[in-house]
Amino acid sequence: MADGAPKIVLEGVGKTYRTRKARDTFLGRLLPARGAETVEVQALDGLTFSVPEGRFVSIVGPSGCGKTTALRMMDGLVQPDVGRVVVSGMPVVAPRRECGFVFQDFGLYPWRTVLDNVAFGLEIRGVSRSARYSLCAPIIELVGLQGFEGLFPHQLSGGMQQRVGIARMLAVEPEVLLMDEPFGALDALTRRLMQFELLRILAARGTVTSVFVTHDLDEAILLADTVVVMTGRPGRVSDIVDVPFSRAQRNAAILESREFGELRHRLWKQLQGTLRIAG
Amino acid sequence: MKVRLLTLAVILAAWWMASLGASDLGFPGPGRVLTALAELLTSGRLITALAFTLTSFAFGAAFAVAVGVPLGIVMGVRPWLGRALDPYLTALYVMPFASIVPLLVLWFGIDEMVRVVFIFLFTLPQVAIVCYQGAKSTPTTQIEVARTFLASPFQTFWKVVIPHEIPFIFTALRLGVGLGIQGLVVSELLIASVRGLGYLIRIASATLDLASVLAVVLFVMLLGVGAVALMQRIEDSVAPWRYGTTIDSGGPNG
Repeated sequence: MADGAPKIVLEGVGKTYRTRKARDTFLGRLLPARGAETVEVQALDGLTFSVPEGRFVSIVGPSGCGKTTALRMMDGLVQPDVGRVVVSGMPVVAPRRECGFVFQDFGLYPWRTVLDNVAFGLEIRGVSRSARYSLCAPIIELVGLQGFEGLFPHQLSGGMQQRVGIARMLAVEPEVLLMDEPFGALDALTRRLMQFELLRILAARGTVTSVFVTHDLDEAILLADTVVVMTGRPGRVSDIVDVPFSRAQRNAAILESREFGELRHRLWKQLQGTLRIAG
Repeated sequence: MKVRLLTLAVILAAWWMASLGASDLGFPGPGRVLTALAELLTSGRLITALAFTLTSFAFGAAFAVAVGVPLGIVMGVRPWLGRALDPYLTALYVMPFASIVPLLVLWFGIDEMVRVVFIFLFTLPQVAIVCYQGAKSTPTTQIEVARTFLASPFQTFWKVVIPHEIPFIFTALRLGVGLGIQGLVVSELLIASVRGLGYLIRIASATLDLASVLAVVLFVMLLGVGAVALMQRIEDSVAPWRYGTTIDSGGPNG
């Protein structure tokens, strides 16, 4: 993590969720009580790392380690209990214009066409219809959705739906791209295709800072300049690993290379260690 | 369509066979009932009664939708209001309406007014409950997408909550039509009336003309099926994304 001033900084971030026990329901209460009614789940504890400007950082970790929570904090969708999250030198207290977010379950509006879904962010900003349509046209072409503009989301495959999700984020030209397991809901083949598509799309978009949450090691390595490995709950940084491949090197062949395999092995060992901690 | 015609044929055949041994007084067959229906139609009595009944129906159902839809949506958007009012809607929903008809007659007389009030009260809780559930069920991600784009609460309401609500509004309308028609005939049976469909049923059953009773009942059912089908058509054209989901998902309920 050398070049570039830090764009995103997490300093000692902690977050505890209070949830009701599963048994704390009407029928559950009729049964003999065991323990407290609410449980506290410590999602994050002292999470500290930074993302240099212009870098692509993947966050991997066992499920429930709080990696999604950390990402949502960068967009201001969630606030930390302790510590602070800083983007572009400003503490994040609410969603900001410079950040774009891609959701795992797409979050498309089923009543909007592809074009109107992509244009949603511009519409919220008060851009006129004709202006936003002409702004969206090149982005729709970039993500490979030309010819599908007038369709509704349910008429598209999962991969195509997430292309809409990515285009919708890019349409408002964010400096920071936050992606929460964007390909997690796709089948293995579509997933691989979309990973290379994302590389192609980002290469065409110039300098942006990206944070990508996943639990797929291949995906994390293939896309990122740096991989942050998190421990199991409560999530902390277990290791930060730089990926030695240049942007131009990222192709299907590299997945089969020895360096890739070694890196994957190293990260897997690291993750196995965190799994033991998580129990 | 073939399936529907087939089920209709089976039902008519079963009805016809069941009525074979019975007298017209006991259980009139489909032939007798259809003849009675034709008579009622050609004499113009059915149309006159229908016009009268539909007027009170239209006003009552329209008021119920006009109040119930916004009420349900506001309850869904403001959770404290939903929690406060939900039990009362349920209470209204389970109230045995027939038993308060005497009270309504006392307060609103026996003319159109009481019918409109009756249909309004009968339909309102269902419509409001469905719209409440709809507004409450707006997916979290859809709200969060609006948040990440810095949408104002006003924009989120009009661009996310309301479009998500549209299919629920149509469901509420369909329920409203069905319940409204039911409520209407019940009200006309209970409230001494000299016009309307309920009145036709009452005089027919007073003269033991069972074929005519069933003819009017059948007519009301046809009316309801037609109205619900019409609403479905309107929904499919206003909310085409819904229509698509129905054919694509392949599930039993779409």
